[in-house]
Amino acid sequence: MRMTNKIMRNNSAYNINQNKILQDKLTNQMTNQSKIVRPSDDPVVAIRALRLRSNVSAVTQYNEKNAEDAKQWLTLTADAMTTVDEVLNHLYEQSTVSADKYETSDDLRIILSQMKQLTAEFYSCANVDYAGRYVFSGYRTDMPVTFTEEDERRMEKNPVAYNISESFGYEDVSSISYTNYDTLKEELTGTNTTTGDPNPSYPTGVDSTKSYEQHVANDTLYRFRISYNDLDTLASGSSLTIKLPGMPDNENIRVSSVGGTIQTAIVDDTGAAVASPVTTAPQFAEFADQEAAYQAIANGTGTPPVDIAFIPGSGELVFSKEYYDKAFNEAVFAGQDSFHVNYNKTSWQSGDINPIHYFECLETKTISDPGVNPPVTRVTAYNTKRESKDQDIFYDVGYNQKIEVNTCADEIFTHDVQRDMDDFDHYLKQLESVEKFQKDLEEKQKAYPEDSKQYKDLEERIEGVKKANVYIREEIHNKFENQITKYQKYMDDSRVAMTDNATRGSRLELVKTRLTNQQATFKELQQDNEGIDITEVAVELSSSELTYNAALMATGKIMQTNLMNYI
Amino acid sequence: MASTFFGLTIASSGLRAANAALNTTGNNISNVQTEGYSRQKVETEAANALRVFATYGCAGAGVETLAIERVRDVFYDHKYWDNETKLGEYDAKVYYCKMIEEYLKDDQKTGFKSLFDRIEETLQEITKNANSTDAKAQFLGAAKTLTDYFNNLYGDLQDLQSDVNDEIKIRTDQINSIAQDLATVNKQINVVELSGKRANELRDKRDKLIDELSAVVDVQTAEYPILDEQGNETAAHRYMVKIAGGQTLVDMDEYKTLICVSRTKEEKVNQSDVDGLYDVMWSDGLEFSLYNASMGGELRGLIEMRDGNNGEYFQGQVVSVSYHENFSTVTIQTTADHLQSISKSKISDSGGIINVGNQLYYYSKDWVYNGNGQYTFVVDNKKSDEPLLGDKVWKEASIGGEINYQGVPYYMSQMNEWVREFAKKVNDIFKEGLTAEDPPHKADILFTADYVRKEGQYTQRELDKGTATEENTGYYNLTAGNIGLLQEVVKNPNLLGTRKDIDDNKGIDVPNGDGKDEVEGKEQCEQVWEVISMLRDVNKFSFRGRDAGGFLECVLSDATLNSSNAETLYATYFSLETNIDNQRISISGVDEDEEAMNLVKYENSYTLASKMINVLTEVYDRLILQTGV
Repeated sequence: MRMTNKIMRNNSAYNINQNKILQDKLTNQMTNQSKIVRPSDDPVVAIRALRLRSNVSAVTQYNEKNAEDAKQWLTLTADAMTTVDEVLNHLYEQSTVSADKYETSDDLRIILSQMKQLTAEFYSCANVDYAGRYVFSGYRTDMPVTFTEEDERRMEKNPVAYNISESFGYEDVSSISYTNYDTLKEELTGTNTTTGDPNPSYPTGVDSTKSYEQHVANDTLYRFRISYNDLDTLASGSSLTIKLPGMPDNENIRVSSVGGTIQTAIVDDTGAAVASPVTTAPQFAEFADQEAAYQAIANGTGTPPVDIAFIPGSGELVFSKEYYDKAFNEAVFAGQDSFHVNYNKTSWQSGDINPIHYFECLETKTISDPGVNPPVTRVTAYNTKRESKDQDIFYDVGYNQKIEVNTCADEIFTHDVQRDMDDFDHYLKQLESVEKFQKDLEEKQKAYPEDSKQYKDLEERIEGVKKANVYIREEIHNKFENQITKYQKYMDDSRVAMTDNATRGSRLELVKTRLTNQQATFKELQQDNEGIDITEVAVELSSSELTYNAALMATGKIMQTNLMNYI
Repeated sequence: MASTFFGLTIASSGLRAANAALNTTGNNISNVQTEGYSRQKVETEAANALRVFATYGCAGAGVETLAIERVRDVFYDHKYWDNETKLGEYDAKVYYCKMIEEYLKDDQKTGFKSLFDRIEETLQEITKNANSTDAKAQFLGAAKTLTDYFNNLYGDLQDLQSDVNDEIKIRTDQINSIAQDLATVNKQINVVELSGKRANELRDKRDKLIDELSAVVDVQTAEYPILDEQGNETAAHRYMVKIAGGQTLVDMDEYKTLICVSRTKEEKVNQSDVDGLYDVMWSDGLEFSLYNASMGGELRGLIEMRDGNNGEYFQGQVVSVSYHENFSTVTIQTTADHLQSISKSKISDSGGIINVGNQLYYYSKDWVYNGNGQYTFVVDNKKSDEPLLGDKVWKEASIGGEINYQGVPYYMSQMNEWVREFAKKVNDIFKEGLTAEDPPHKADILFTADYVRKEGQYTQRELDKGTATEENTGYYNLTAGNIGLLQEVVKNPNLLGTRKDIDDNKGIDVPNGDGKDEVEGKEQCEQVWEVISMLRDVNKFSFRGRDAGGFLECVLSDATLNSSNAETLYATYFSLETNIDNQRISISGVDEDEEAMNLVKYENSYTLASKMINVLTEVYDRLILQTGV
């Protein structure tokens, strides 16, 4: 091939240029510390870099934000639950020491007031918040578990009615003993016409062959306790829908009051009357007074006798042993584990547990916008649509890995702690009234001469009352002993939730450790993928520099001379 | 016996030859740096010997200087031109591919992937505190940044397309000017050569013009001698230049010119094309085949960049035609995958040209897709040469052509497809949800776009329709260029449908008949979880077999592969260019050393020839003055 100077120059220029391109690339790598400047330098590296970058940012979000937030939430829940446990422990200790410690109603009142303080403390734990969000409220973090004073004021102005459906199990039907000293209350009547003394005769219905003492009886009654007291009365137009064990599907008993008379009807799930029901409705009666209701059931009053007494004030449905044996025996319960009561409650106080966190319920409130719109009634349903009342909040802490951060109120805060106190209140009232009755009788006795018939009668009655007093104290003693077991159970229940919370916490720890590892791994991979090996590049760079210099030198020599210089 | 003065003739021929050679050497040396110059050499021949009827036979009559010829091998020229054509094509592509790559690349802050990751992060923040307006506002901010990203990218690509279009105009102008020069040079060459001389410099000039032209467009040249009536060759030649796969550009001293005609809005090929793209045609009105497969050069690179649709264009078979004097309605059945979904549609939204059975018709913007592979167009019979009648049934129909390169329209349609599918998926989830207001309402969509011709935004109802007539628009109306967020939601983030409507009660506005509304707490955010799982689950959202975040990986890998392809090929053809050029230089190039030697050589010849005359002078002196005197 014929070689001309120009070819040599062209080749030199081309080669020097190639060398420069290489040097430029290496310099860029050195200054950017990255293998590629533009994706097309190495598409595989570039695309892989995109994916790794996503991985790093996702893992960083999981590890540094989500897992951290979850941890805070879990820790806060754990702290609140520790307090709950302590409070329950106090209550437990209190009831252990209290069982034998009281003599009179005054002692009992002091003990109960201490326990009430603790109970209030127990429920106040339910309203713990995390940055303005109530932690035990499930999805409704804007609503505290118990009503606040503000809620109470608001509801005083615009009453909010809740229609609550509560389910009970076999174990929720409990027996109570009722000390019936009713007969003692009857006064002797009449006047002895011959002596001018009053001629007392035994009141009607009192079996004169039995002594007063024998008339004092300790009856066993049965009841199920609704989670709330102070329910809407049937008399005020409310109604009660009950599905008792053994009743066929789509049949419910609806109890209402028409013109002061209690009426029952068998209705289906939509509320329409059933044409030819299988169920025969039991006999219902509503009582304003708890005592009166117990008495009525104990005495079997009414025609036909009342089967179930509804006491809205105390939130109880009470029935006799006979009815219990008939309607709640094991054969009836076979194959059925629950029965339902649907009731209304409009009067709420601060500290009451908001039913929307616990039960299927309908909330009816009137929204008035004075002067703008006519008042609108809005009915909101809670917990009616889902199979389970599942309000778990999940945080995403990894690829397809979620962790539940919250604990719902119903897992720890049972209504029973408060309702047990209500029962104690009732006992206290019983004790007080029996004490008062005894005192009254003793006062009255003083008015009669010691040998008068009245005096003796009263003497006998006082003996009876003493027996009643013993019965009641016995009952309270038993109640305290039972209460020890109950608090133990509440503690156990709350500890289950605590353990659950702690388990999630330790799982989160494991997840976090793994995420930290992953983060490191991904960053390392990123470095491997995009990063340069400085030594390698430096060596290459200096070698290309050498080549470049050599090329320049050679080219310079070639171009300097030609034949002309020598002619 | 030869003449006494025969020697003088011989010597003078030598002197003349040496003189010519010296001058040619001088010319070569002078042009040593001239681009396109081929070295010249003097063709000499021993002159016809003189029969002198002597015993020794014929007497050599000196040298004859035949011509000064340029030294050139056309074979290498053709190789060079072919290579220039390839080089030109990739030169154009390298530049524009790099631009696209630059637009798409993710710098970890403003790139698609970073913005997309941010969306997922902000969604997770919502799940952690669904009641917070702040978290939702952050998510909306992230979504807005993403739509802005697409708006900008769309604008950038449109600008790029517009730049390419302008360059096409520049290149066609360049072709025109070269054609004119070529015709002139052809004429001059013939004028010179008819007088029996070689037009070396003019031929060099012509080859240089072709060098230039070959970078712009592929070139074929042919040169035939012109015959006279007796069939003998004359000194004149017919030189023809054909470009773009054999279309004649220059024929002797005649040339054709190309003109660029802007497409109107009603002639758009792709929905996302910028207005005023050029159609190139011959000035005499004949079609210049722009999409010719054998075309090459920068023009090819530019055309592919501007119109490249990766081979995906509208094509189908006419199934029915209904003729109404002024217009006809034609229904076309398509089978290609990319035509089976409105979200992949590229059909113009302002009307265009459809080819039905090899006849062009103008279709209006009111075309309709039936969701089942069938498209119905309304064509204007007044604008076309012949009306569209029933005889076109079962004929093939197409819009645009198959341009098997990933050019701007390809990236546009990729973006549009992703944007439409993504917007639809996200909207479908949020619109099923409830707002976080108290009381909650049935939520609206999130992604929408501004109307083109009036104030306001597309509504949920409009987007959920599947076809593209004016008020009957579907997600087709959403493009990467106009996608945005629903104004109301931006103003009040609580209107986002984050909560699952478990009661299916359509919010408070439309009670479901049972007179009550089931409401779950504000932390309930199942719709958000659903969006998150949609983002990750390739079964719920797939773009080219990848999950939603895979968009950039797919598209950027296209762009980088194209770019690195173009670069590799550019480097290859560039090094080949150097090689072939060297081969050309090896033959035609002037070498200083060689010329220096020639200088010595011819100087010697000249000196010797003069010496000869000197000798002869002495001979005649001896003969005339001293012999026999």
